Amino acid sequence: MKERFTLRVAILVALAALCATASYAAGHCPVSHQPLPSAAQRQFLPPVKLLGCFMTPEEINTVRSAIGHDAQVTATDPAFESGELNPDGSMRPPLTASQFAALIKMHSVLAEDMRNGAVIRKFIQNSDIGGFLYGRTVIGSPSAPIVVTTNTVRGFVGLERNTQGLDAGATVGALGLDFETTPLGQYTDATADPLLRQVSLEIRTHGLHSIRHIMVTQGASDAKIPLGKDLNDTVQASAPTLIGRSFEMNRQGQTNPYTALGISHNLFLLTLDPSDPPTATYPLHLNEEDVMTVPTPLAVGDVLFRRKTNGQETPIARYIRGHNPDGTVTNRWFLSQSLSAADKAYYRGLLQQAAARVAAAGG
Amino acid sequence: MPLTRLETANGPVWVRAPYRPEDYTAPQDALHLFERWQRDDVESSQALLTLRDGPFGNYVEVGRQARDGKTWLVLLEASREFGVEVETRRSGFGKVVAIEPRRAYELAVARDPLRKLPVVA
Repeated sequence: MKERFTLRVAILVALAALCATASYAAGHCPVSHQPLPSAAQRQFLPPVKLLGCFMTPEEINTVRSAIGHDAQVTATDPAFESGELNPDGSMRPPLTASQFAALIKMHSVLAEDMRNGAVIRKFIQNSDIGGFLYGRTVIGSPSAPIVVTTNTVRGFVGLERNTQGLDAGATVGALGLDFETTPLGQYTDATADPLLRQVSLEIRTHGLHSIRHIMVTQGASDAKIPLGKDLNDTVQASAPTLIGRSFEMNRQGQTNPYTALGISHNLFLLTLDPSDPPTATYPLHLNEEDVMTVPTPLAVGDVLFRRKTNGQETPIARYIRGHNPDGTVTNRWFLSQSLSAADKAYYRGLLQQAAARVAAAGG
Repeated sequence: MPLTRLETANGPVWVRAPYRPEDYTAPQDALHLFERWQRDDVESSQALLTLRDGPFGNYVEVGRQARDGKTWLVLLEASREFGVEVETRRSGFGKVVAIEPRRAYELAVARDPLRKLPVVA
């Protein structure tokens, strides 16, 4: 039974991967029959539009249906048992053969755009902005603080296209940014009973911030799709174009928002639009998430953006080469000259707070 | 060596294949990944292993040793079951060495009683 299922998955996945790659020879989208988008155009196409070139609506819906399924049935270590549970303690169902195939096909389409020159966004908590602007921050426990530089991009990242054109609230919903269940969080605020999440007061007040970074070859190579064991094993066995683009990362903790599917979780975040019904939530936007398996350096020209709940996006600072008083040259953030006086005061305040924390930690 | 799942009349079990050194040998790319985190602008070794957005989530700490005045973490890759020892640092990792395959096998077998399904040979 198990072997027949595995064989069916392998055949489906192989066919799906073949469909996703062979279509390039034809010059037209195999499904939508539109002209194939160029590599440059793909960087700015919302994932669901790009997927529509290669995948049927049914296949895309199958990807969506995979949310909440267990991608690590074959993980054997007790450390990951809690990751097989839903927040309410029930078991997550295993992925179906068609979900395996649709997910692999989706990743086969989207993965090739993480390359040299790819435009990515790294969303950061507002509490981290000062440390970025200052160039150093304090990490570690209060009893053993460590002062470190903040000149890299690390952790979860994604292509800019994943949230292009979305406002701050829709972006938080689309990316499933941090599963906060406290009354006041950096990305979301929540009520306990019933558990309802809304865009945080912090974001509504100060906006959502992200670093726009252009990938170099090494960084693109180090950005990998995190997948649960079942899905990652399927990649290794049946999807040669994805080998080297993914790594095994299993889910731990039943309230963890990490899906292990290489896509973001649906937070069921309440919308901010007062004309929506009170329980309306932001839609799930399909995307592909990556993890920087090694930090990649910030690059001259990177920009720190602020995205507001009305969709307005403002460049806050640019990472450029600057001359120091002692004649040396270093790369650092410079606040935009076009910021309002109030904005300048806000960001300088964050920078000064970061400097004080670093000084207090002996940095 | 990954355990494989087998459906039996009494329910599913994990099957551990007979020991072969190559099944428990740490690959070079795994050692190289730890080496690339030998840097002083990141969290402590212990914290790096528990990052929710880092690349080391599949390593399980199965031991800790003091040698030459340094602390070494004994890590087992949870699925492929090879082992590495990494020297702890206040920031990043120190030296990293592969664990001999027979020892990695023994460390993996030692976790078998903790697994939710029985492990059979």
